[in-house]
Amino acid sequence: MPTTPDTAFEAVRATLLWAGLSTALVMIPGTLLAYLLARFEFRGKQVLSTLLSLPLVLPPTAVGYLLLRTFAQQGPLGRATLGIDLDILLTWKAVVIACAVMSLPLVVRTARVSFENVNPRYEMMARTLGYGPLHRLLAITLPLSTRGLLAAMILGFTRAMGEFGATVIVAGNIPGRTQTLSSAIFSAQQSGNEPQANFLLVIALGVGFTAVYLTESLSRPRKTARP
Amino acid sequence: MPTFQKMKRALIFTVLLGWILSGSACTSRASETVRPELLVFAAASLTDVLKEIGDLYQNQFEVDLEFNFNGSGVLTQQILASSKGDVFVSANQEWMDVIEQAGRVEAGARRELLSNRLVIIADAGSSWEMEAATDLCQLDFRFLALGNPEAVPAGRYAKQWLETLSCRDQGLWEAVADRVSPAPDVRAVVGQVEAAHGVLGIVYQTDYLAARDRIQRLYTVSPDQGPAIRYAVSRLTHTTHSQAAESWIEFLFSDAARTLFEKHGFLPLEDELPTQD
Repeated sequence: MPTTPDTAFEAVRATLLWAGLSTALVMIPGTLLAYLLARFEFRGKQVLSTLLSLPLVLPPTAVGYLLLRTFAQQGPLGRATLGIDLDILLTWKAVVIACAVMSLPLVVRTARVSFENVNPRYEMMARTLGYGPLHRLLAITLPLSTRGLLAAMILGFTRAMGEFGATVIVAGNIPGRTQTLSSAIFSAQQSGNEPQANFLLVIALGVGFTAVYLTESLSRPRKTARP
Repeated sequence: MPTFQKMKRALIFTVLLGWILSGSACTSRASETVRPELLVFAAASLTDVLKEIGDLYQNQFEVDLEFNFNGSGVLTQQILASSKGDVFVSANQEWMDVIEQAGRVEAGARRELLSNRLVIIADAGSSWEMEAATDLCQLDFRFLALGNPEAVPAGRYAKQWLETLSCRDQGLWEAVADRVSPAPDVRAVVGQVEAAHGVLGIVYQTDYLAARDRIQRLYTVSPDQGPAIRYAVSRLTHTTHSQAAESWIEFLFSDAARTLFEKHGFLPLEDELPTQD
């Protein structure tokens, strides 16, 4: 129960961990999808791109409800369908999945733009030298878009840190188990516990600032001597 | 120098990572205790009082309590989708009915725990006064904030109550319907009333008491006049801690728990009271 600083720190620690896991989960498929959308023309591209953006425009509660239906016992990824119990709902795994789904559009969009900013001529040249598509991505485009990808990662991470609407529906709001910083603030405010809400708010501000500051300082372009 | 900078960064990240991961290790260790863990799904309006009662209970019994507080409707969806939770405390009978129809609560197993009262509130600076409920017909308020009657039990009760009253030539509900501001939960109603001038709200007495330094009460609906507000509690059929669940429910009806419920403005129900269906 977040009535002491100790448990508030616990919520912060858990939130950082889950946001980190969700970012890790999203980065590889997100980058590949972004590359696919940036470099290739295929049938249904528009549809795929639209689908990937949906979590951005849908109310988070709608996404939460959709995930709840998906992982419900009778749902498409539930025990009755799969034969095994993934034990997702109302656990930390649900927090990570909800955060991942909500941050995927931001990661894909940001990474896509950074890929599109890399001049395709480089890749064409590599192609004439016999590089395959994966090789071109790994050797040319990825290194040239590191900063954009880092930005995508920061956005994904911060989105996951603040996720609330979908999380609270699939994972609940169980102190010490699935409570995040956002849901702890929600609970404190709901119960009219202003000192607690203010305390958590200060922590949220501090953690948010530190997280963004650290990553921004890491992604700052190095000062290199120009020739 | 650059190497030192890199080392410093690496050090900061290692410390941060260590701290984050150590927390997760602690959590998993804590869950391996011998005491049974009871997961209680409870209506958001009970957040404060159930935490207090829970502390009392955990001191006396060898059981650990975990709470999942949310609107009763969301909790119902979660119970139906997963097999989680040992005890459900619902803010009204309707959501408990849904759970019962799905076979997650044994028929007849639920017990009525609490009642509450509806009150009409205004911001602390307002000069409005009310003698009777029908005074609402004359007051020139801008909005009447209440929980969305489609989803929020408190709003549903408020609407039911207003529908039983009438102004001169029309029902009171019809008279105010175009000035109703539906809110996602009762606490949001308090927020709207507090923040804007000329806004009235209908909330539970308990919500008024929790915020009474910021808002004022204009009118209290007496229990015989308004709809029967009934919080219900039941063990869920999929629980693996039946005994602990029963002992916790029993504790909710104890004198110690009743004292705390009353302190927060709830009206504990006599257990023998016949159900009003």
